[in-house]
Amino acid sequence: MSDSSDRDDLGDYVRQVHQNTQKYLRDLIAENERLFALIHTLERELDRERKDRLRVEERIAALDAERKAYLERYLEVEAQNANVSNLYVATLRLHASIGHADVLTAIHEIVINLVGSEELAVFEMNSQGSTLLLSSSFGLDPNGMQRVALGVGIIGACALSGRTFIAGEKTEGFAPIPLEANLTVCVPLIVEGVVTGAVAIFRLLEHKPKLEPIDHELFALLGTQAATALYCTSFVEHSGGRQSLRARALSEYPRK
Amino acid sequence: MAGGAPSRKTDRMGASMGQERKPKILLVDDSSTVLIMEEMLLRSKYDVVKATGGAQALRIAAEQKPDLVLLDIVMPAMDGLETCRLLRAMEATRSTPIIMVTTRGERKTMDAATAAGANGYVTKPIDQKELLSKVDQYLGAKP
Repeated sequence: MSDSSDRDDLGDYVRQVHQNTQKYLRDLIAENERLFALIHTLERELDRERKDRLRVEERIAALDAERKAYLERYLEVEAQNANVSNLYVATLRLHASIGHADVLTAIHEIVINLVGSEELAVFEMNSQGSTLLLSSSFGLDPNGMQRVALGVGIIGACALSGRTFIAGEKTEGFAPIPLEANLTVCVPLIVEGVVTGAVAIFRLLEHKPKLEPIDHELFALLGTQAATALYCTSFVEHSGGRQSLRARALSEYPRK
Repeated sequence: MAGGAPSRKTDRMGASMGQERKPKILLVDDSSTVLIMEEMLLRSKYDVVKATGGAQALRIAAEQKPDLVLLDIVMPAMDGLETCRLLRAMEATRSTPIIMVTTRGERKTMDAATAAGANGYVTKPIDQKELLSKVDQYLGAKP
């Protein structure tokens, strides 16, 4: 073979390699562009997914907040229902009888079972309106509290002013006497703006550390409904008792 | 709390005349206030029978075989602890869940209730949610 023939073959080979390299580069660039386009598409999709996820997370957070609000509302309504049922039971009991002793028993039961105290006293005003007389008590030594003069001690001040005493809350203007050392609440019994008695509640049960909002409602209810119920019993007593009342009712409302 | 797991299930009562019988609860308390309150709370889910004393409770329990008893501890004549012991001695209520309801929240009383055969207790003033939850727990009802 001649030298010139060898050079031609080498030139062809180099051209061939050059052409192949150029084609390979073009393919590589095209593939690169395709991959860039794919990455761009994927980034757009990822971005959309991120936005969707954010929206879903926001919706979940909103639903969670809504759920919490509903739960709070449910608990609130549940507590209100419990309170209303307590007040209903208390009212029902106070007005279930026209007997003086029955009404006093109802007051005891309300204080013991609904408020949570086994130390209480119920006073009623004497006919002159000057002294509270002990009508009944539970868990206390009644000696020394048979009579309470108006204005004397917390119970007397409560009856004089018509204001409720609650230890640690409503204490202004009340000065205790030794007998009232453990007094927690004193509720004046009021009928048509006139104080007719008082309910004194001493120590709460051991497992009841403090008064609850429902207790305040019960005190308000006792102050009016217990007062009215007790007051009504006096009419029955004055009109000859239950038998007389029943007889009169039968005579005034003949059977059909 | 003593007594272990709930022993009676609502679905155990079976069907009668095509209707599922509600579990029956015997309420025992000398206070009408408590009886009214408990009845109001439970009557939508359970049949309720009431007794105002221990002796009456024993009689009703023997006749009606309640699925659960809510029993006051402090009662005149026969107290809740004695009533509980006697209920445990009766065939009809030997394994009936008994929940004591009491103003006495101290350990000593709870131990005495457990010794008398009570399964659990709730204190007065009654927390309605707690009571319902305890009753549901023992009767296997859904809250």
